[in-house]
Amino acid sequence: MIEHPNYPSPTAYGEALSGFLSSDPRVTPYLGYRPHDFEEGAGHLSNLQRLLFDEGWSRLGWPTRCGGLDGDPRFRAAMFDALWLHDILIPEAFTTLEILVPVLLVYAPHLADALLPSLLRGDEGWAQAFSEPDAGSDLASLRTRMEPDSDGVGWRITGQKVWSTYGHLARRSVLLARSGEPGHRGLTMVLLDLDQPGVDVRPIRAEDGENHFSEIFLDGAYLPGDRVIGTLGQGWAIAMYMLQWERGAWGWIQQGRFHNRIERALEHGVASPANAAELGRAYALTTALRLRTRDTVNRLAAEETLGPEVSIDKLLIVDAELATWDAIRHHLGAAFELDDALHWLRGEFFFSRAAPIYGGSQEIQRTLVAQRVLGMPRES
Amino acid sequence: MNDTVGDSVNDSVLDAELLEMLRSSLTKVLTEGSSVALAVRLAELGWDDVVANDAPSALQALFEISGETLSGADPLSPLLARSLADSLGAPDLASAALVLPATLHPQQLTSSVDGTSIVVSGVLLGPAPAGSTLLVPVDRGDGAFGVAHVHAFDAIATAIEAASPVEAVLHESGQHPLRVETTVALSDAAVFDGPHAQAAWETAVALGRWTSAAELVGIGMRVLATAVAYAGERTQYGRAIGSFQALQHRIAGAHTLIVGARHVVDEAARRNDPWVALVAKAAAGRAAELACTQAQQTYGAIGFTWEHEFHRYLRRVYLVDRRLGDWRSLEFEIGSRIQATGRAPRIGVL
Repeated sequence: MIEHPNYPSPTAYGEALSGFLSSDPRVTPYLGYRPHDFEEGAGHLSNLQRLLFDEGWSRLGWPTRCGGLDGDPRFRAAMFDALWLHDILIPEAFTTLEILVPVLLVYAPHLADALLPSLLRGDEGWAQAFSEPDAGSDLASLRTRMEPDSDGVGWRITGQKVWSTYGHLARRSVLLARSGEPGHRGLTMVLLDLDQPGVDVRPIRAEDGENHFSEIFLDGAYLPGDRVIGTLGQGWAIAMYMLQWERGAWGWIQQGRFHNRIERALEHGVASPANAAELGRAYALTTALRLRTRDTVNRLAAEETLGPEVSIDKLLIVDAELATWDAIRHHLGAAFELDDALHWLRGEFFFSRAAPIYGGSQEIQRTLVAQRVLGMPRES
Repeated sequence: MNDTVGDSVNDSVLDAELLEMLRSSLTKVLTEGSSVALAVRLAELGWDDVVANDAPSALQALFEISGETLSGADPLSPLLARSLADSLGAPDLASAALVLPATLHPQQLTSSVDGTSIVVSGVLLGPAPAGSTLLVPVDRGDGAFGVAHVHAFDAIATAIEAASPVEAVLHESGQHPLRVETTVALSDAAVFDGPHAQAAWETAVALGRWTSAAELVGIGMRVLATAVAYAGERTQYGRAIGSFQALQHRIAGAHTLIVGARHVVDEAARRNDPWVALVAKAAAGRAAELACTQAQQTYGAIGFTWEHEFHRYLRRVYLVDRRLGDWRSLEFEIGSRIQATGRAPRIGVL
């Protein structure tokens, strides 16, 4: 239990956490844990989330007003590093927190105070609902609409969302809806309860065989007036604010995974010189990702506002993720296809194929880097 | 569990403004007055004070700009000679000229000790300053490593006399390496050997690798910047070719690797760690080569002409990439080490 969380540095905190992870018997069920499926993993790891919260470890890096113990985002990054070093899977909910909590703290303080403590502790899960069947990369064209309810204070939301991570296991979802004119100006960010009439959540089985995300069908779902995040029409700006957190934190989490998985994969099969260079390249890219996202986390900790350069973080994730999992598959040889015991590595491999697609495709990111970072001309 | 490379992060002493001033001074030093020795020009800049303040930032800037400007100076050899002199506790080595193996690879030695003589076969990265002695990494037989210090005046004069400029690929790259082939009597040299000499060489190689990586990043940034500028001016089908996503994506992809490599170089500059230097050079070499590939495609036919400056950068990338290990051999070395140890060390702490 952290009594006085005054660690002089994230590194000192990380070392203390490592001590806890390697000595406390309550951590044992999570060391080297390989979920049977996504749902079992989510349930098991929510117990880990609760343990880390109750012992104080996961509260460092979040403000006290939302259940944290203060300290900046580098402490959260140090926690992710320590977890991966001990071969402990990062609960999916932690990734969601990295993206949603900063948004609520800035744009909906009243919701942050009321709801975040139970979210941080893992008592409930939240999802994100942005993409739609006809609005993927072109998010500003989304059509799910919110209209005033007859009660004069609330809203009714109707439409269809898709690729909602954690959707079928979540109690609430942050959601982007159209409250006004077409285009990005007419969008509003809200927090919607999913356990109500007019909401139908259906899991989508992904290429790896797991229910990573869901479709959400909305037919007049009710949104109380105080569940608007920010103001009406501010949704696009909030989504952009959210992205800077998504890139840095997610990239940092992923580099930890890649380092760990390279080491785990080498425990199986026989290393061949034919695969050495490819492995070296994957490691070099993963190192570049680590150092790039460390910089981004440091900038977020210093409360700098990040610009379009965070697209470079996403592009490095793509390069490192594909290179790492290609190297792992080639290292494993036929065991990749035939060894049942390696189902978890196989599953993570298949999930890696989404790297150039999720969170803004590689093409969109490259266009952003070319036009907004390097100043190349837009199409005229 | 000690799987993380690096101690707590030292922030650079030079802030952004000072660094910018340094960069513009270095650009002048490296592009003007090339008839005066680089050491003299740097001394006028107060280089020793800058290095004493913040050696990593100073050296990183020097080598990046050396690449950006295709400078004809050779800052690497004196740096490595100084490093060897420090490690070996032999101050008089600091002004020696370094004869790299002809492979340019630090573990593939081409000079050797043979009975009573030293067969020197290697490369000087630039003309040896008058009066300098020679430092030669040598194979002492059955794989034993040594560093020979050739100090006899006549032997050096013979070697320098016989040194021949290399032109094949390097003409116009800004660099002027010389091939050295000579035989020196063992009595004309001192040979440092044993683990001490090996360690000194590894330290020098690490320094040479990360500074070379900085040079590759500098070339890559310059090549991409000029390609972006060209793509904004050149029109086809009534629009700037830079507005075509096909080109934007090529350049953005290469820019991503250059930025990533630069982060690794930043880290390598602040560690005295051969592993980090190795990774930095592998990342920078691959990134710089991709930058050239994408820039060349952007230029189209004009970039293929002798008159266009592009090929000078391409030649420079090939030379600097080869120097102390090209990216393909380094990736193999990194991967082999990870296979052998089962460890993928985390480079850099929060």
